[in-house]
Amino acid sequence: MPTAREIMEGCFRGEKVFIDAFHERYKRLIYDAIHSWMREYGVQSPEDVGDIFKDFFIKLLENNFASLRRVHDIDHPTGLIYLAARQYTGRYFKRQWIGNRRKHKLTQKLERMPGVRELPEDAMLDILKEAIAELDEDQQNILELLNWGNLTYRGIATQTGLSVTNVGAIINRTKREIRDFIRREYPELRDFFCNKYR
Amino acid sequence: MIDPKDSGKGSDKMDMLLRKFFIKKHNLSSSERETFVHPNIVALSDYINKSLKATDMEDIKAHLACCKECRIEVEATLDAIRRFEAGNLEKVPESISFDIGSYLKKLRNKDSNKPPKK
Repeated sequence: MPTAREIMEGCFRGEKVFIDAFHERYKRLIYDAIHSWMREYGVQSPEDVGDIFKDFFIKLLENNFASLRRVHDIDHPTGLIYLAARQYTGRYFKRQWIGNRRKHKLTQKLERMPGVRELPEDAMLDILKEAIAELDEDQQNILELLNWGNLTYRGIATQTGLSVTNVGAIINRTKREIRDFIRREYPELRDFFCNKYR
Repeated sequence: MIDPKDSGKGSDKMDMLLRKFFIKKHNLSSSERETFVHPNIVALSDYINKSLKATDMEDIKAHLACCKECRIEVEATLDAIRRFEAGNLEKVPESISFDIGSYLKKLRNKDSNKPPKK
């Protein structure tokens, strides 16, 4: 029987035999994660469990296990797999909510105002919060200095000891990462955040 | 609501939201600010595996002390790991199991049909 390390490394290389082994070993864990998330947040929608389960695997395969590649302790990936499946479940329902809301709004209001796409600000900030949590600490600090401290690139460079060019590059990379996150996790909002990069 | 007039092109909208995000964060009390941005799942799994640096372990511990949402995630994960290791997890019903082999085949066929990049 392959070890957890062998399975994970095999999956990262895209080898079918290890992907099958991953599915076989962790399917119950992923199923449990979806169920427990729905139970804890009071979501009663048993017909969605199958879709979330399949979508989670499809996403792993399509992204070459990107969300699990970040594991630091490859001999113990169970925690990260479980947390990733729970996070996916949360995002699945959030996407559904956004989808319904937009549809509802379209019929009510936006049909008369083509091109305007709006969402409650709290929902947008909540999604931004998720994206910011994925950034490293330095990126988060630089964003905060820029947007809250109102510092210029030069001011940030002085405060952090980086060069001005470096600060500019980090800010651009950070914004790109936020856009990529939204494009990946909330494709429904792609136009809102990313219309410059379509 | 976000004022559509206030949001121009992609990056302007993002800048506007980022500013609002940090204003919102700094309008909170210091304890609320502590839990405003949650640690990501990699950090939480490293915390569970105890593979973080001592200072990072302390940071997550402090966050968990005041953030119910993350505490639920960690407790549920620890419980699931225990049940997984003891072989006590519920069986996946036949009706929702996923044929990974045929999907993989489909995905690879799709990739091989793509024209090569110039």
